[in-house]
Amino acid sequence: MADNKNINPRRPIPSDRYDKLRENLSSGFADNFPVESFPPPSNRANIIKGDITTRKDDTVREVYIGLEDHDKAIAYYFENIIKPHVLVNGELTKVPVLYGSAERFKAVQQDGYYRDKEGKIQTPLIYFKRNSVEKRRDLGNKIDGNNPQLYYTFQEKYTKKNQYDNFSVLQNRVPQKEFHQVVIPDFVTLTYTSTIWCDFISQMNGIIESINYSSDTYWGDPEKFKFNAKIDNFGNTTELNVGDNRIVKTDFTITLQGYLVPKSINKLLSQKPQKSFSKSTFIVNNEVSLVKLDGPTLGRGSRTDRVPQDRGEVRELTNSEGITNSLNVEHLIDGIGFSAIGDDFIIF
Amino acid sequence: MALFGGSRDISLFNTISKELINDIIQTEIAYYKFTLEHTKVNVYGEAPQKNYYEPIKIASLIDRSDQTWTSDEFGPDVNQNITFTFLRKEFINLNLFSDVGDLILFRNNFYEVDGRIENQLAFGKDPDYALSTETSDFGGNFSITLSTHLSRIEKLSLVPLKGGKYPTTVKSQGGEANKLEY
Repeated sequence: MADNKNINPRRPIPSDRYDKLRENLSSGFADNFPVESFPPPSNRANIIKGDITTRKDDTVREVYIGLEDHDKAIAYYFENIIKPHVLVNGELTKVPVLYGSAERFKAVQQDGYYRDKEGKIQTPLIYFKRNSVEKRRDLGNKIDGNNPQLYYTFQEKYTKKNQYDNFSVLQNRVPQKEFHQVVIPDFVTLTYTSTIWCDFISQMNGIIESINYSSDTYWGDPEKFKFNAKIDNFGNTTELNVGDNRIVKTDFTITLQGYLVPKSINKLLSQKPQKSFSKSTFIVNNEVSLVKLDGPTLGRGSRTDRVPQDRGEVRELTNSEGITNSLNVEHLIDGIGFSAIGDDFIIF
Repeated sequence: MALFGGSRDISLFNTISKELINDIIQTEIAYYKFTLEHTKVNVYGEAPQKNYYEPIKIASLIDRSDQTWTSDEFGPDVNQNITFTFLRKEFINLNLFSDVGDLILFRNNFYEVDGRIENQLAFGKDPDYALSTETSDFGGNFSITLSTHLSRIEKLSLVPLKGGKYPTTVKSQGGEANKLEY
């Protein structure tokens, strides 16, 4: 405690606010002072427990969409959807797709399958490379990175809190919903340049046609993220230089409409809890079993006596006669349903 | 009338050069001659499926330059230019007319012929183009030099040769060029 602080006079410790408060309370400046005992300082942060949701055993990961996801989307689409192929000496040959300007060891040693023994590149090849990331200001954003205000909420289809059992059905339990909040992403436009390198124009034509067909569609892995990709023009180059091989290349630009949800520490510190649940409710119908001891017959008897049909009518009967237990019924057990069994026994 | 460089002199040069290249220096290459008549060319002037005659082993003088490495978005790439020099007499014996576009196999790499130099004239005379009968037996076209570059071609369709010689070129007589004699 601050009272028992062992203060070294050679190294005085400045008083903090708590010490100042204790000095003031102990000064005897008013009645009831000094205070003999007062609560210790609260070390607890201002925590709303409702916001604390465990992510243990959670199958929903923190939503993160990075630049690499965009790059992978293009690579996936080339590899698995467009699948560029050319005829080389009558054999259908897959065209390798690379990310531009890879490290030397990767380009020469790991990707040696498209090189000969001297290390000369064997065509056809396709590379793509990200050139720029431009922020889109014509779409919404999270308003403030220090205190994001706009969130997108989606509901998880299954939550373990709603495990189905008969009890939940019988009790009219309203299923609890699991929600996840994701901050509104930063919408960006990514620009990629890509080049197709072939031996022949006749090979190039087929590749251009297949890529152009995929323009203006959504590129990416269906299991992950897909982004709208646009290709406006293809620039063809055919060169024949002395002392070098014939060059047949086509350059084109891919414009990708992307969005970013970073994994940065400032985002994690400022974001609101990602996971939340709807209110868990269940409706209890209090069912009472009654047995008539005397008086008019209950249930659907053959007589014309007024027969209470439900719990409310039983209550009214009781109130109108002003006598408690006018029907002289006895509460036996809690039960289910509404039925009259015989003349003297009714179950609500 | 010319004093030196008669046919006997040229014959001596040829014999010495042939022995020097084939038996002493003995650096050999495989020559792949392009078969024009077997190759279909598209509208872009390219043949995705090229055909070559089966290779013939020829000795030559080889002037190798160092490999040059360049790098771009596709990664590092290598090129090498090599100059091969042959005795012209050897080509004539094989009925081989070398030209741009042929391939040469050397150290298990294919080199595509970029240019053909035929400019080493003994005594400055070429008897094939002598203007007067007095000089038709003097001098000689001595060598053929082919400048090449490292090619990307990795698979070839080969046409077999008959008798280890290239088919006769009979175009000057009105027939087909490089007609195969099966």
